[in-house]
Amino acid sequence: MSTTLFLVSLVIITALFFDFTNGFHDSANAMATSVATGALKPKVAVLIAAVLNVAGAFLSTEVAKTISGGIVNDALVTPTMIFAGLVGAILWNLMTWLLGLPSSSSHALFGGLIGAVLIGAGASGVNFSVVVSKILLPAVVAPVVAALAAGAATYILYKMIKRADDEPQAGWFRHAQSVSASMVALAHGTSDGQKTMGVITLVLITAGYQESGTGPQFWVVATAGLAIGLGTYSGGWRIMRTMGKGIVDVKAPQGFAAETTSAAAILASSHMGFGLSTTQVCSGSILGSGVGKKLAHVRWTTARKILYGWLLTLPAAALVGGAAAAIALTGTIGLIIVFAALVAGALAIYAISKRAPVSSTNVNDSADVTIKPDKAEVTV
Amino acid sequence: MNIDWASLALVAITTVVAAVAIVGIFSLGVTALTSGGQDDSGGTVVHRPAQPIAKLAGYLCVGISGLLVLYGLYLIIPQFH
Repeated sequence: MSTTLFLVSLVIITALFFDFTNGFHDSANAMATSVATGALKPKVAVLIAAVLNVAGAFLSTEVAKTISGGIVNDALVTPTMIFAGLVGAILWNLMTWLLGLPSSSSHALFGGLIGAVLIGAGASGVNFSVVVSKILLPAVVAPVVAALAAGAATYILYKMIKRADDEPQAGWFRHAQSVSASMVALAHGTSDGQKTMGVITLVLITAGYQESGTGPQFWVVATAGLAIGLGTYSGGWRIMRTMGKGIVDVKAPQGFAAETTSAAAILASSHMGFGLSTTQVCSGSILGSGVGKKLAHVRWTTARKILYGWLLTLPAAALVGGAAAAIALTGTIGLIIVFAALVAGALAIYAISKRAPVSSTNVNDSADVTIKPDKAEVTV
Repeated sequence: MNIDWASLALVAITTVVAAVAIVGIFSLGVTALTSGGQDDSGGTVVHRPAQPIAKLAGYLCVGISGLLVLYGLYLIIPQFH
């Protein structure tokens, strides 16, 4: 096997692994509130989200022409840097999953790439003004706008229907909530599914395995769709618990208001040229649905923890991406070391998660995600 | 630095207006459809059906929400453009 083929295979495997973590990180965005209110059974919710994610991946025709949308200078990016960036993104995604924190997978990917490019090509390879306008500013705007909109919608809803939490009203909202959550899942599939396809296609082109200017090959679309679908189906129950119970104990009308707001925000942002992170929109909507309801208990400590997670996402992924690049750029041995470290890190995080697992059966039992075995939880 | 404030404002306003409008219309529908109230005098709760005119108005509101969902699908699926 030639060195190029080895490198390309490594990048593709890592990209698909990233896609998988992207899926289980983001299945909570669409489905957490539906699972929390009982609108959908947990397993059914993730199955719907997975199918819609895969469908979305196949539907999206326009695959990203650049990996980063101008955040790094794509001309300077080599497959090794992409590999290192993916490693940073995966490890940060797994870390935040372990802590039950919803954080943006795109920001993790950008962070990892920025770190890798800083090490591999120097500071000139990173467009810091684009980092501000495309990452930092939207990161502030997304949750604030979503929280405002969902807050207003929830407030009006409960003004109109005093007993919205009771039957039969709640039944209507549960159905409506499932519909709006499905919209979020489909929209997510069309945007995030194509991210990994873009990465793989660009690597194939850079390495000379594919004609420049051509779209993704069928097997790339199929494997990327499958990876994100499998990730979504595996559920990411830790993040699901935080988003469905941790920020606010969401009731069906709130879930409906939050998911509708998220769908509206995602569609508006993707059609009006100001990209917002799905995760940050959805977290903001859920928070807003708590603020908008009188006497609803918003757990600000959890909200604050999530905020810290967002602030750390970019630098943390950059740090890991940079370290990975420093080792991987030394040659084939370096690549193998980084890949081995990725596998070891992923397994270690998975092992820690097993100490206090969150699954489809206990996702709604508590509002907290811990990494310490909690005996009180078992007895409930 | 090139920040597109106009699209930012447009996205923000669209999100707020769309969310409030859709949730408002659907809630109006639910109000109408459940306007019969309930009768719990007999021990078990019985939901009384809404008046026919309220029912019609209610289904109209739910129908409009359904059309908005279809519009959302139109926006999401690139093959329609």
